[in-house]
Amino acid sequence: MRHSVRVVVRLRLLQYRRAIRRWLRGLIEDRSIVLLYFMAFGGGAAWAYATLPSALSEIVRDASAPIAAVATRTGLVLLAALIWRQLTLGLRYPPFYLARGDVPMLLAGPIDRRAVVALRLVRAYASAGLSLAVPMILLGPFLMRIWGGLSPARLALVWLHLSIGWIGLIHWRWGVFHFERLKRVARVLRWAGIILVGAGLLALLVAWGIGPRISPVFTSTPTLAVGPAWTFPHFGAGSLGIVIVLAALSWVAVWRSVPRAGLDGLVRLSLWVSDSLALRRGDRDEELERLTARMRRAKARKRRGWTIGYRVGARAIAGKAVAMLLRQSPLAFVFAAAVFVGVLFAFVHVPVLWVKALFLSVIATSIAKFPLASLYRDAGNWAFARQLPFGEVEWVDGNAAVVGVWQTALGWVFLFVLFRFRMVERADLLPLMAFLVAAGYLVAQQAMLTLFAEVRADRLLQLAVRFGCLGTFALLAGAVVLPRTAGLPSWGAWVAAGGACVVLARAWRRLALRGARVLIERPWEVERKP
Amino acid sequence: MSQNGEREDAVTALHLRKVYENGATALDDLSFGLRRGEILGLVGPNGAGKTTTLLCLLGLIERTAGEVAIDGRPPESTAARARLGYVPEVPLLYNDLTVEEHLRFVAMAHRLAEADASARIAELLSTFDLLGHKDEFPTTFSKGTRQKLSILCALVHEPAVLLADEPFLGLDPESVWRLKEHLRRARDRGAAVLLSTHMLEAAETLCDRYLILHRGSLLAEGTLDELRSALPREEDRRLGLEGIFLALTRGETDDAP
Repeated sequence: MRHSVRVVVRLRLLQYRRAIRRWLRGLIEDRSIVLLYFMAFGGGAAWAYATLPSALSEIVRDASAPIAAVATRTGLVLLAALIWRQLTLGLRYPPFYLARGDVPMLLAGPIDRRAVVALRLVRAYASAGLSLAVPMILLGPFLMRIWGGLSPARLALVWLHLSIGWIGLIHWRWGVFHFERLKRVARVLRWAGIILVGAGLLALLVAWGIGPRISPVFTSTPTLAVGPAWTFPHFGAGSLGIVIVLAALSWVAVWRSVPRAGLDGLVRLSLWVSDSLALRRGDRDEELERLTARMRRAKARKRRGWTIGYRVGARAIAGKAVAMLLRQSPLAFVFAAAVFVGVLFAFVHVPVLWVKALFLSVIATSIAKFPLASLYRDAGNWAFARQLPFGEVEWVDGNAAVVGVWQTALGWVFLFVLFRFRMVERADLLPLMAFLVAAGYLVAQQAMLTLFAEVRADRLLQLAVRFGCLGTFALLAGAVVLPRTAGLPSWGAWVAAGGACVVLARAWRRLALRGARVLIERPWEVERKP
Repeated sequence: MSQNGEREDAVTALHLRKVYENGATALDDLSFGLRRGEILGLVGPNGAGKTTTLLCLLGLIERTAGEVAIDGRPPESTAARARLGYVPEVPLLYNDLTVEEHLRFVAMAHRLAEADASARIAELLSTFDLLGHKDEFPTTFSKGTRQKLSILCALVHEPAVLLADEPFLGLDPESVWRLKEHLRRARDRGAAVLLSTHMLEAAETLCDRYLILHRGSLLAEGTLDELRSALPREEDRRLGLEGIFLALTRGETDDAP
């Protein structure tokens, strides 16, 4: 066993060293883009971080509901969602995957498989601990302001609780992935979680939205009122001991289960992920062929959405889009930044509201195409794209995700600038941020449609795209104008507009899928077009 | 232990059955033994269950039913796997390790002494014409070169049992010849080799016995002469392995509904 651990540790250290070197080399090669990104996003984040304390103070001062109570509920819902996700994720994915070479060298070699699993789990623990630590460190000062009695020591104790609890959940995920009995339990938990988290979200909506400031009617109903100010949940040494014992017990269970666990699923997923990564890096054609064959087999076996590797496939496409985005000329980014500042300037100075909204919609739909450089290239050379082992779902979802994040990030920067210049009410800030996520999703789907319409020269699609732009404009204008004319609370309008955006986006997605399917399955129809 | 109780089998598979999640039966009641000092050819059409058989022997996939023993030990045990060498159907390598690092890593995993490992690695690199590539990463290689490295990783510790899945794929004729020579030498020193291949000409010149699989079941087993004598028609009894294979599998396919 000791020998196995020593061998695997040496291997992993060598791999990490090489990966870091490769990453650094990439950073140096693309240094102009990296610098630009660092200045744009790092600077934006620093600015947002600097302005948050004053914003938070004002929110706390103006809030009609006790902020600690609402924040506690929000935290609990987030925690419930996190636990629920980990409880059910094992139905499809193990907590880690292996490198491609591990299959013949480690799993079929003389290495104790428990050492291989244990060391991969350690990496999963580190990743879980860090992914909790980073937001907690960043948000620590604000959390301590919200909950008066919270100290750095207590915050650290909370982090320990959550991290160790998460380790237990990682073990559970390993079990669910490998053992049918636990799968059955996880399926029940999935539905229970959907109901519980849904109810929690509803309660949050009531707490945030239907407070006495918005609608005094609801405060007279005891069940809907926010109630007494909740204090920060107590995490002490006793509860930490329980969490540690539970995590240790689950560790023993994993350790004992490794020799009995079937490796089929893990090996299949590991090879899939390795090949996807290799494909993303553009390493070799053989990976492509294998991935294609594996995807076809998987598709024949299962319904698409549940196919192992589907998410990985969409991520591979998204990764490809991001890689292409990063390789754009720095001049393109300078141009985009200039357009952004120009739009902002015009938006601030144009007096008529509907003109502002129209202007914003048109610019938003135009700028959405910027991250689609990769898809434009593939669409122009669909013979290459057809070789890739992806169906229309991966193409559309992978690219739309990148566009959606891009649009939302730009929208938020835009929003914070307006907020800074007092053009957006404080009460509208959060609903607007949520709305921009939905609007980003809609614009992303429209961008996909635009692209497919252009490539196919399909008039129906082009018409749909134009209606889509008009629809966005109508939604945006409606959300801004309605609250002021109908006397509705503005947050209600933003939530309604966001919901409408999502509904519309789903419809656009269907059309985009249809467009992508034609390109994949019947490219000759496109080639005949002028 | 083999079916008939003989103790010379290095690998024993008894009543192997593998049904995949989608309900497809890849192996159905497959039993055979692989003797020491023998090269056993595993041949069959696409989808016959050859790769599944190897993965079951390696303990890389769960068996639905049946027993596997590597020198009397279950394949999941570390001791059993220490005796194995495995050449996968496609080269599965680490992109971040050089050729020499791959081989040194395998040598270390198998606890080879430093001096022995160095000598062995140098010999293999030289034999398979990879000495000039020893500091290069596999991402820069052609398919054939990657295949060679994958083979060397399986041979570096001189395994007692070698399971090779289509090892000749992508190799140039000279490399095929060298690999065949190497496998013969391994057999002569007492190693057991299970060779799954579609290259029937290569198998015919190399293997001592053959297993012909069809749709997950054992269609025929034996030496070339034994397979010939099992054919019903007199004129078929002069056929080579390819002819025997076609005669047997066509017969099965014709009978199929």
